[in-house]
Amino acid sequence: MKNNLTAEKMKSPIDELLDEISPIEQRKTDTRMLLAARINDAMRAKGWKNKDLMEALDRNTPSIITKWLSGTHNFTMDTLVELESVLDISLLNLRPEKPKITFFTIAVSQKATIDTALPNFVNLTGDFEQTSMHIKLVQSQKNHFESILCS
Amino acid sequence: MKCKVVKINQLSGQAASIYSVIIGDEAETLLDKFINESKISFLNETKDIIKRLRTIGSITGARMQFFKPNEGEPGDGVCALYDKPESNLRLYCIQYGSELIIVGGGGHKPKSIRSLQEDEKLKSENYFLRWLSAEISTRVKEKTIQFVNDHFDFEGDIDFQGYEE
Repeated sequence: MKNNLTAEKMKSPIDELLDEISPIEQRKTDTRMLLAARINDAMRAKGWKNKDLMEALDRNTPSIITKWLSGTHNFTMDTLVELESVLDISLLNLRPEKPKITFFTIAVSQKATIDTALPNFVNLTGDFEQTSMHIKLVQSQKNHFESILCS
Repeated sequence: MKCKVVKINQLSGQAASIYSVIIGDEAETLLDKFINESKISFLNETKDIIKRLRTIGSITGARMQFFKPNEGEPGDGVCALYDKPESNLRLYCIQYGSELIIVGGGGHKPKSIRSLQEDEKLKSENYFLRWLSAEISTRVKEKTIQFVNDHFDFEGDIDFQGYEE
């Protein structure tokens, strides 16, 4: 018990405060600041200053843009949608999601040469006819695969 | 009065290094003192500042947009971390690009004052960082201090003395 108290006393004020901050609290701050950073990057890409963004959004208080960029602002969904529209960026999908893996069955009803019907990532050789296959595909490849089969 | 610049490892990360200052032989940094002074009356605001510093260190870097500029002499990098509009805590910093900041002290800025010079505590904290920034600039020019690790750290003579309020 005595050792614990000693250890507690040795904690710095920063450590004590960090201990009180939950992961979700930290994540809220991270997200606010990431949003502000992305908005600022998009403005710079367009060569815009605060005034340009203010005018594009039909606002009349320059300080609101400074506040948005400071990373302290809690944006409403409507404001984010407006910002996405004028800056041509995505703000509601800040972190790329891991690709989803989907399992599905493909029924091929027509004789086809695998080289032309299937994309490179399906590792099969030879001809097939009236075949069902279980293929593991990354979701982002699914559309490509379907477009080939439908053409 | 002598002082030295120290890295705050708990807040530094892959995006930026956060430094603070130890005065004399004290055990606490100016950031520790700021926390102790502020958390009694402004706990949430103080926590918010620490969260923001951790985000700067680990994710975003010390982007200019997160700081209120021109809080010191022209070009000396002295600024204040933006606080929430409803809060009036000021934490003064010296910014060196987006990779390194030195966090000093600060305090509550009452709404009744317009400039920091109207509050002795804020003025004292701010003018100390102005002096420190000038000292560092001189040493960088004299090459007794260098920025290393892709500008994330200082190397060299980081012990200072001679500041008088």
